Amino acid sequence: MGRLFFEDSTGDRVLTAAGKLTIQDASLLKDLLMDAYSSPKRLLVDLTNTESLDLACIQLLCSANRTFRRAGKPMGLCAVPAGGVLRSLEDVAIDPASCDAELKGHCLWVTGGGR
Amino acid sequence: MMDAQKNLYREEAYELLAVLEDALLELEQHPGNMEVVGKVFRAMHTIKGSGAMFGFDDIASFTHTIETVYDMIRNGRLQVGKDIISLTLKACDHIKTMLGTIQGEEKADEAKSHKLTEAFRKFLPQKEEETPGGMGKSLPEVASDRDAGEAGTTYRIRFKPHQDLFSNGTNPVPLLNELRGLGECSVICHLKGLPELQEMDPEGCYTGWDIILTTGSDANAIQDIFIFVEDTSDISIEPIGCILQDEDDLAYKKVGEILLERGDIREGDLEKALASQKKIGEVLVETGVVKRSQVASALMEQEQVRGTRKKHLAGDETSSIRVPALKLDALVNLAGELVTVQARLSEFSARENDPDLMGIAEDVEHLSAELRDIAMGIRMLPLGTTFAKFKRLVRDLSSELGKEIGFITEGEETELDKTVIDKLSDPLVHLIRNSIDHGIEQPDKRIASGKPVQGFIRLTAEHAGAHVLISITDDGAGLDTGLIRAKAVEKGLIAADATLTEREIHKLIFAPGFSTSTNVTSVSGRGVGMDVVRSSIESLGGAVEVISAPARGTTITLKLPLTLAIIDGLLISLADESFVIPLAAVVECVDLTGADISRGHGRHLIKVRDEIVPYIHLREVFDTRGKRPEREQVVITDLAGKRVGFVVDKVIGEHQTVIKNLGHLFKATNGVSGATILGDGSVALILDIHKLIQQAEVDDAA
Repeated sequence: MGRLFFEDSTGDRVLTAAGKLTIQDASLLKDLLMDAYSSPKRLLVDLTNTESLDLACIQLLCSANRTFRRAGKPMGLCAVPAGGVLRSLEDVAIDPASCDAELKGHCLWVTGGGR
Repeated sequence: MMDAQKNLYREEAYELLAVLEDALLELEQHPGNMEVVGKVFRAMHTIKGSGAMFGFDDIASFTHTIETVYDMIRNGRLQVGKDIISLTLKACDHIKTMLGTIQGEEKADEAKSHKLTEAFRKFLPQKEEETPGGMGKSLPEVASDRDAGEAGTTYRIRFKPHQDLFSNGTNPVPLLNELRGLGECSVICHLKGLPELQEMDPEGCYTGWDIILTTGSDANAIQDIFIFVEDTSDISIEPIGCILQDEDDLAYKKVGEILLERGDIREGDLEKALASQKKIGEVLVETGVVKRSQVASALMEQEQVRGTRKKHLAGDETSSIRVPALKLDALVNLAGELVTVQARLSEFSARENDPDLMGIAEDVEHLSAELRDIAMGIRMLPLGTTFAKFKRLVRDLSSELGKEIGFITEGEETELDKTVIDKLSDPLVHLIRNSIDHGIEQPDKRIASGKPVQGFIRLTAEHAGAHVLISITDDGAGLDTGLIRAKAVEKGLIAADATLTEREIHKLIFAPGFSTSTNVTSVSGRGVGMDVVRSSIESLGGAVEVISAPARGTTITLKLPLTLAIIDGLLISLADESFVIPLAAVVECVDLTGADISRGHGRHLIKVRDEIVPYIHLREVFDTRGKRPEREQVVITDLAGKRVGFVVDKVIGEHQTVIKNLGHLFKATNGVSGATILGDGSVALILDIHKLIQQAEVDDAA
């Protein structure tokens, strides 16, 4: 299991995910994302200490990016994915071209959400 | 017809076994390399499938269990270890024996087949016996599976798990990885079904995949991967074909056609999009008919199929055909005959002084030279297959002797004439066995002398002009100069007080019956080897050199001619007869004057650049009649560092020599290795200078 927690930052809410994120973390991840959705602050997701994340968590982050963007709320990653996160994305064959037309250029994984 | 097919199968099986052994030895070094596991599986699969196809049921039956074991390894259900590899190597040997008994029409050793099969069965759970493909009636399916594999079929796979996929603990990533392991695989994921965050079940699966897979496996093998998710997913596996009829097929289908075929769009959508004069994918996305991922997926399919077809086409261009070696020999012989006829034509046209005829003769000369080069080129084979055989030799012998030895090969792509390669195998076996047995020290000795426990043997090949140099280097103890000298004195090869350089002493290891080893092992030490190596290499027109340093190791280099069919020769004459001396051995030509002869005081010695060189009078050897010319010439040759002159009437010049065998009647002729036909139609004998020198030494001793 991974660790998920908020860290306060000036003007932003930073959701930090550390370790190996699996389906067991998915419910908590959704709750935290929903919590951030109801906040007026910008959401930044910090995956720099994430070793890997499974499809359930990837789906949640993709859905959050889409939902936030449709609602005009800013969301992004602290850094462009690397290491274990990148490998996890490659495993499930995430491709920027898979993003919806409305997310063109704002794919969370390629641009960090275009923040 | 069936015999021809059986022979074809045997040849193919021997080649596959060589590939298999190579792959197994690589797998031993890198047990996690799934690509190599796949190579082993495919080789076994083909041996089995083809065996069944041509009626070799015993081989097909024997390889079945082995194939099943490697299928399990391939699927990550069994770990490959030294035990499996050693067993498989034994199985390779047994298949070789079975192939041999096919030839002799004898019965193979069934007990051994059974014993090995049982050993493999121990790695299998009970139910695995029926997979992959099972035996008996399923064998024809294996053959068709192989056919599909050779063609490299491309499949369009759509995998859309139901939302509850995760609830039974299934992770789709290992399934995708398994597909990736089957061949060239492009995967694209679709997240178009992803709901808004609020509506999302965090433990639901909303992702689907389009997979384009080009593989040698059949649809059943792909279906097997999805066996545990069949009830919780929508899966379609569709062959979209890759057989290329002509270059026009490279175009494949257009994106719109692919989307239509997939059912992602309707005919009307396509017509509307086509009318817009914009890129069809963009139009379809902009109008919301399809998602971007669907267009990306269609493009991916188009790109992969085109790529595979291009590769297929390139493969066709470089594909090879199997031709019996005898036919190649006949072709080279004919090319040689043509060179001879062309030489006659050139000589005739020059004599007639007819410009038209001379023009034709020139054209024929160019064409015959080109044909000769191509014919010779066809006989050239890379040394890789020969080198690969030695990996197994090093592995088995080093383990038998309790030594750790790494084997490195370089220059496998270097080509040599097939005849030379065929005759090279035995000498190389001798040399490598010697390096393992006498060269590389036991691990405790290596540690004591500050060397790494693992020794190495390096086998390399490289071109050097019209020759190929093959070197065997080890980092062992090196030659013991003192011991070699003492043995040589004991055997009467040299006088006790003889002054010899270190290099000259090292050369003594090539003397007949010479061995410094006090122990005769099953590997070496009987003193029959190095002299056989030397004479084998010299009979090929080559030479052997040895360089050794104490505690640092030994390098033995074989210098071999590129080909045995045509050589560069030096044409000489004795009375009105012509002879050819191989040019590779010729160092220089000098005159033999009356003064030189008198200075020799009745002995056949001449001083050339302050060096006393013994010479052989060819007139005496061949009992040539007629008056000796006043001024004779001496052709100085160098054979393995030893200079010997050959006295001839006249040196005519260089001559491209097409070698003809003398036939059985002249097999016992000493000092002559073959014959060639000159431009005027006369025959010139090719001198075997090594034999002539040996004979002269024998005569001198007598």
